[in-house]
Amino acid sequence: MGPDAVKDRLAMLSALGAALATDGLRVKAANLWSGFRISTESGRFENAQNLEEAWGAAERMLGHAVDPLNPRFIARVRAAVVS
Amino acid sequence: MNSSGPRFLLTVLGGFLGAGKTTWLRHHLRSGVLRDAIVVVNEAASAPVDHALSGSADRIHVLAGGCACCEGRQELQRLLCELSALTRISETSEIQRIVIETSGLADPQSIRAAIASDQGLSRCIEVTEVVVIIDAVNGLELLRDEALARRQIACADCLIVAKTDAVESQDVARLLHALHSLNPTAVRFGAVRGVEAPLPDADARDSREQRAPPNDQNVGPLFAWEIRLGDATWAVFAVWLSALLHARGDELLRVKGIVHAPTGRLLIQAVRGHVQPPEMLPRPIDEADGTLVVFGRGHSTEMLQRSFDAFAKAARKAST
Repeated sequence: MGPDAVKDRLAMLSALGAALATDGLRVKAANLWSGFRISTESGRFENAQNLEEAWGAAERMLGHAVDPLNPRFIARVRAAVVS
Repeated sequence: MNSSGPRFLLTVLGGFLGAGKTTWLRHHLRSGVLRDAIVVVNEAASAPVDHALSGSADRIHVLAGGCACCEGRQELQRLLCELSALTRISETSEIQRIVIETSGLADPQSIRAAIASDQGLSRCIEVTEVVVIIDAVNGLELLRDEALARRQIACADCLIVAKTDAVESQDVARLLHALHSLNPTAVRFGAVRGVEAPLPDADARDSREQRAPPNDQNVGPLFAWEIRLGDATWAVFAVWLSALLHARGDELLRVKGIVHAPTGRLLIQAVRGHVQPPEMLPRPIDEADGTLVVFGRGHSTEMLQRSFDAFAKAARKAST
């Protein structure tokens, strides 16, 4: 994995983490090269190979989809920026 | 030039959002079949993306920022007047034809009518055929849900069923039955990535398996929303778009845009939530770069932009 790919992967983990944190979920790398581990505060987790799977896993854990157009989601994301 | 003299032969290439019009056109441009044609690409959004795919040939003209069947109609008529005035036609002319690739929101019949009703234009241009492309993957669903898609099919002289390799032949046959019920006289072809492909024999199917009755709950107008990506990274864009498509893919009929990724300049496309493999585009950078165009109902540019901006700020903060 070249430096650009590493940087890109870290940025993706960071962006995904910022989005899911608003719903109390955590994200870390599932392994060195690819994939995500989505977990709840209670320790329940699912591994996802890609972003599509990651959103599916988050939906199962939360009981609803993370919706970027939901005004409450946008408000929580904005609040996280100023906190 | 008068009505008895040679006229440009005009083909209207239509079809719903994401049907495969640009892919089909690009193949025919590259194969040389359209070497005697001027091509007009119409895009409803003001940030034109499709022409980046069609290439930079000097015979390609872009009409962006309005659908040529309605709000962009006068602009189309003006462009066709200019083109026919600038380009002399005779039996030995290099240019004999004009092809208009409509936006996915256009009713081709309105374009045909607009040209026919313009005395100046109809003296130098003859609309010879309306070719409409329909996507084999989403076709039946579209014909059920979208009155515009049914109008597009009904006015076609030629129907091209695209992406036939992506579904089973019985699904293509079912779509062919539905097409026949809307337009029994149009000639029909299959296509895969623009290349002509065989169609299954639809006549052998049970006639009870006709298309589902129309569901015209989708009566609201379709809009093109443009989201500026600013200096957000590829990673932020990919995460936001994937979330949007996961949550709202059924409502977003078409997404397309040119973004800059670490691997280069990429064309991103999705149809009804299904993301197509990104396509590497050549440089140079175009005015449409960094803009995502989303087609759908019930939202607004402001809402999408607010969501993306908030997301990008949160991601930036998390990464520092």
